Amino acid sequence: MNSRFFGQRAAIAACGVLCLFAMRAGAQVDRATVTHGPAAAAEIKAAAAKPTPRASDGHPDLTGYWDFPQPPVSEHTKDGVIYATPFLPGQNAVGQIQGDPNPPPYKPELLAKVKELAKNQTHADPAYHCKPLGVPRVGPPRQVVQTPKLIIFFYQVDIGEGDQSGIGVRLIPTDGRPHRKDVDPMYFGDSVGHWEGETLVVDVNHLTDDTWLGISGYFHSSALHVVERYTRKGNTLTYEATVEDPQVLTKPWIMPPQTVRLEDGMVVEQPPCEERDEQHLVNDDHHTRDY
Amino acid sequence: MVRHKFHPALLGICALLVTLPVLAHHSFQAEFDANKAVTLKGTISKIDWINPHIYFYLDVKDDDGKVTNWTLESIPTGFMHRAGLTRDDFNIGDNIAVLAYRAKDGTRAFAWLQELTFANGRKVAFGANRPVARPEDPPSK
Repeated sequence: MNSRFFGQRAAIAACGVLCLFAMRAGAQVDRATVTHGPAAAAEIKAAAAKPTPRASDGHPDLTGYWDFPQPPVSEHTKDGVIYATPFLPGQNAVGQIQGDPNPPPYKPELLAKVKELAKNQTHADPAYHCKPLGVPRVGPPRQVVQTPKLIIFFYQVDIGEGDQSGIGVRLIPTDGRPHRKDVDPMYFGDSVGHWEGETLVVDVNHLTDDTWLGISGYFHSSALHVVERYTRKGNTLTYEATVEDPQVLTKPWIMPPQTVRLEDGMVVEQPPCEERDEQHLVNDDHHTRDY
Repeated sequence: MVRHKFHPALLGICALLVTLPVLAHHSFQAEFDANKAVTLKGTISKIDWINPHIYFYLDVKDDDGKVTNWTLESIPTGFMHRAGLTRDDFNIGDNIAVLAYRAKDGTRAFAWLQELTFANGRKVAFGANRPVARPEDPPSK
C-alpha cells in the first residue's frame, strides 16, 4: 500500500464522517456540486445572482441551453498531451461510489432485491444496455424552448450510460389539459405542466417500469408517478423531483436537487448506443469513475 | 424538505460518497487488466463512433508480416467532445501508435485504448488515472 493509496483511504474515511454529519442534518447535496465539486458550486452561485429573464406572460423564461459546469478544456492539454477525459490527471475521485445518504424509502421486504440489483447493475440496469434513463433519472433537460402554452425539453444524454441515440424530446403542455389516456407507458411518460409562482411544476405518469430511479438498483413499478419542479433563478435552473410508487416505496422520495447553468450551446444529435461490454466482464464491479 | 447551508468544502468532500450521476458505463477493472499493457503500431482500419464506447480497429503487422486486426475500446463520444476532439480528428488509414490494456477475459486482440499518438506526434490520453507504463509487451502471434 503506497502513501497515495493510504491517503485516499484516509480521505474516504474523513468524507464518511462528514457525510454522516450532513445526513443527520437532513442535507440535500445538489448534484451539480456532487459532479464537479466546490468550484462548480461557486459558478452556480454566481450564475444564480444574475437577473431572471421573463417570458411575455410574466413567467420565468426557461428557454436556453443548460448544463452542469464542466472543467475547462484547456486544462486537459497539460504537457502537450490531450487528456480526453472529464477528470484531470491525478484528480480522479475514488472509484466505487457507496453510501447514498438519500436512498428511496423502499419497503423493507424489497431492500434485499435492491441490494442484489445494485450488485448486478452491469447486467440488470436497463440504462447499462442503452435503454433511456427516463424520468426522473435523466435529470434536467439540456435545452428548453418555452412558448406560452407548450414547453419543449431537449435531452442530450452523452455520459457513458443511458446514452440516447439522436436527441431526446419531451413536450410539456401548460394550457391546462389533463393527462392523455391514449398512450403507452414510456421512458419520458406523459407530462402536463402548470406554473406555481416562479416554478414550473410538471406531473408525469404513464412511465414504463423499464427504468431505474438511480444506479444503485433503484427499481420501481409501472405505478410510478413523478412531480417535477423546475425553478429558474438568474442563469441557473434547478430540477427537483418527488417520486411516488406505492407498490415499492413506503413514502414519496425526494430526489437530491440538480442545478444546471445557462450556457451558450445547442444540443447535438448523438450516435447510436450499442452495448458490447457485458460479454467481456469478469466481475460485478461497476460505476467507477474511470470508465 | 429541510435544507441547511454548509461550507463549500464540506459539500465537495461529501460529493465523493453520494450516488453520482451515471458517469461511466462499467468498471475498467471488470474488463481490462492494467498489468497487461501492450504497445502497438498500426493503421486505423475502421472506427465505430458509437456510445457508450467508441471502438477503433487497428491493423497491426508483426515481424513476420502477418496482420492482426485489434479492437480498441475507448471513451464515450461526449467525453471526446469535452476534450475538444470529434470524429474528424481520426481517419481511416492513419498510422498511429497506441498503449492499450488487454481484456481480462482473454479475448485475443481486444484491449482498452489508453494512449494514442498520431504520426505527427500529437498524443491523446484516454482515462488519466491509470499509470502510464511502457512495458515491452509485443502482441501475441
